[in-house]
Amino acid sequence: MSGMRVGKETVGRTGLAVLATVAVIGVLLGLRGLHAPGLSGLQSANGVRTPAGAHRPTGGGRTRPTAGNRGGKAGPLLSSTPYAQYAFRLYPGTITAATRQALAGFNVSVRQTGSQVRLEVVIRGTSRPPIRHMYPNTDSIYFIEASMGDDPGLSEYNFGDDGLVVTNSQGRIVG
Amino acid sequence: MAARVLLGLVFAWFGYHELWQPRLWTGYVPAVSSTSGLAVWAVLAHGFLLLIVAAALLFGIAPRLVSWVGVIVMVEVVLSLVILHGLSDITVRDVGVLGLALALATQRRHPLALTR
Repeated sequence: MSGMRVGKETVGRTGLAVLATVAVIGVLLGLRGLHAPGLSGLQSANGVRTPAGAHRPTGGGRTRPTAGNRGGKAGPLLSSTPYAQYAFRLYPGTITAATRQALAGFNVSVRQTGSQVRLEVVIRGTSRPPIRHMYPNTDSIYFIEASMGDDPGLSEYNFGDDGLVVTNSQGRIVG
Repeated sequence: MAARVLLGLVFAWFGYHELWQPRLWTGYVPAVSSTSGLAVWAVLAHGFLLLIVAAALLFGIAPRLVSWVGVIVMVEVVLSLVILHGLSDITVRDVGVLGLALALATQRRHPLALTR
């Protein structure tokens, strides 16, 4: 038998072996991907990943600071994670043009009030309530956009690759 | 052949990334919450299919048949993008990839196809 007929085409043993090998590679990649954490240390809220250590407003739109509520240790250095290359700094400093492009689909405001920084994220085109957090002003706040390719113009197609990461003054992830 | 290889590379790139980091792609799964396990499995299945199609295109294994599979995949991608988000530069770009897949699917001769 020289090969298997598929319609008008023939798939031989070599072809089947190539496909089988790629299928095994695909399964292995999928098993790894199944346990990949996505945006590390982040939990989902309304489709947008928000810092696990941050507090969402519980009523009246008020925000609560996170500084005193960090029971756990700081995480790894942001620079040591795969997301470092996708991190766009929101605070401190001014928001750059590249960061504005990454923020397609979101309205973000960062305001310093005393020793705290107030972050508000609004998802454009939805009725979802704004996400508000307070952080110590010594922290750095980053917006994560893993793929610009899903941002046509000022829209955002895929919120799955967006998130917020907060680091302490040593650059370690705290939320 | 260049068209076949380039289309294969496009599918390979997306297939690999969907399998490697499926949670970054769940926002594209229609009608399912992007945070659900079902969305992750849908992305993994999609990525696996893309990887197989990519390998078949790159090695020239049943190129017409897999090009038709590529056409179906791209029709699904374009339709879901149009339905969920309307026309945009991303959608139009994917229409171009669909056109490439369609051209390969309707091509009678595929040089250097692996038939052994």
